[in-house]
Amino acid sequence: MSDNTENNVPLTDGEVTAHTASLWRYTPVPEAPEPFPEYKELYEKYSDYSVTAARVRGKKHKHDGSNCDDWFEVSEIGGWIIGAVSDGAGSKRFSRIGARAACTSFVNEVRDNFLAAGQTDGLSEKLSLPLDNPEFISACTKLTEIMQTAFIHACEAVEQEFESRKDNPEFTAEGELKLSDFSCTLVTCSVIPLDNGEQLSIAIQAGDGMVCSVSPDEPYSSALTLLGIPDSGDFSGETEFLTSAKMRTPAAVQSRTKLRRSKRSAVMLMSDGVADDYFPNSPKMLNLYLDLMMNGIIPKPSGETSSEIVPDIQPNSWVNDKDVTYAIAYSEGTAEKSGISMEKLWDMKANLPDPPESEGKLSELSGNAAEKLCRWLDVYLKRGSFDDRTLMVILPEKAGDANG
Amino acid sequence: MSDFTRRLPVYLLLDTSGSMSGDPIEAVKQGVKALISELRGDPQALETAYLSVITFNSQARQVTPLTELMLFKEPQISAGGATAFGAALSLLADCIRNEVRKSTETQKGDWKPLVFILTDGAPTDDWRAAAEELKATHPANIIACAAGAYADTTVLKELTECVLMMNNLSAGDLAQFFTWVSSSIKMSSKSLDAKPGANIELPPPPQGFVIVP
Repeated sequence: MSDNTENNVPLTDGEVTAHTASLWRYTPVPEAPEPFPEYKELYEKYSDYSVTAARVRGKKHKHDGSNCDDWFEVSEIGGWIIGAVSDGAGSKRFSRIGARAACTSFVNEVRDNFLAAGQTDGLSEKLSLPLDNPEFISACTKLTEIMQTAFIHACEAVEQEFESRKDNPEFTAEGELKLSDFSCTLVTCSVIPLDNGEQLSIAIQAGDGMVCSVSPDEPYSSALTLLGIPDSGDFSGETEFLTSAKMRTPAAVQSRTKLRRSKRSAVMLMSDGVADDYFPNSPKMLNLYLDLMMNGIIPKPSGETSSEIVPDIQPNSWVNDKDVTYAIAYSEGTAEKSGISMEKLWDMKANLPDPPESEGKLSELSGNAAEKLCRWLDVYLKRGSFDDRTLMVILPEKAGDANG
Repeated sequence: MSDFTRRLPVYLLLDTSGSMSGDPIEAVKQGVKALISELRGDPQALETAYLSVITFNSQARQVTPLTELMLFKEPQISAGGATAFGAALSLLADCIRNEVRKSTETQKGDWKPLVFILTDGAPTDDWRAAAEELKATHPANIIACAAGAYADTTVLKELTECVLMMNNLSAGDLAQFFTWVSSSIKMSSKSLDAKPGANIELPPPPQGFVIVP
């Protein structure tokens, strides 16, 4: 331990995490019932967007040998992207099953109904009309209602998972099963490219986590739009779940819906395991975006590296194998080391240093952006952050084409 | 610690009245020591748990303010005097109000505090108003333990649904209590997501302890 403990000097977060690093254990995912994979990752390139997503088991679950409770799903129809991220309540036995059911039900139903609604028959054109045009409003209403109905059905899908297992001895071995054992949140967004070059984003969120839109060309003060309103209480971790009856009312879902028509922008969806590490979410979602750039997960604009930027690179050990260390770059630390503000660092995106090339670089991973995202989520370090982490990044094609 | 690190505040309210003199108070001191030692081996607790100790005899006193686990030093405590339980509850409410951060738009709140109360007697002061305020505002998850035959469980039930009873004040039972406190803190730090107002999950009580219905 640090000498500071002798002198009662408050410890830095780095001192505490340096001490706990050796105490975190790795225990594999337990076998039954219905174990979930430790990792899930996806990289897909569509006509207008690329999608990079990953979900990793949090350190607390690795330490205790319990399942990852997060899930995500992505679907696409005619270039329209439908994303969903869900976080199962950590204290509930089968919340992971609820999380998977919520995501799967939502994206499948929205995809099918977007198609049935004639997504390819001029809807995109109507969505490009002026904001006060009745045809634009009507088209928006139609799509929003599809998503809101699918959201309520996602709540019902969670309940169906409970109903189908409540009398199964494999699931009741540790006691009677309750609906709350499947508690989970749901963060969703449909990203629709429009004929006029803009995009429409429709987001619905219940529970914690975050969904936001980032316009990298805009200055720091206006680049971020939060599309979600996380449920929270007086204290950390207090949130609402889909299993709550009040979540299934149209009024509840309507109040959780946000629409945005804008220039083509990046959209990020995440569980609270990531969102809480970048709090307050406004403006720190932009710091997250910079972290993704600095670690080579999403491309940075082309430009000369600036010697004014002194990167903060930390060797972070991997809980799965403590002999393996990854060099992780941190944007906030970089701004601090460089003696510049986050606003200035944002403006200098094109001049950021290349991803760390020291030992344990993420760039050594042979796969695509999803693999890098997965490992980055697994190793970046923040004190008190040991929850499952899930992040989905939907990038306009121009920004995402270096990721293949 | 950065302003955005979430803490799990833990308050120990320890009865140090005259009836705790001798072996019981020594066992409490040993129990606190063992609790700290145990928690320091747990990375989740080390990164999140902050401890405070409030003692009550003829007066209530916060002998250790909310302190990071790695910096926590066992307080000097001794037994003697009456049982100012009401004063202890009022002090607890003040400490939570002053030390625990609630969520705002710009600040992530602490986790909901955990309070462990250990008492072997009945209050000698006016406790009802303070208990009612805590019960109404529910600023923490409160777990009370009535130790020995003379502890008043009725009073504790007025404060919280979660009341344990240990049959005697032996060193062994007190040691078990603190081991259970340690397990409860660890379990809480593992399942920190909850619905607003929901109760936390705790490990089963030690053998020989009874949950007061």
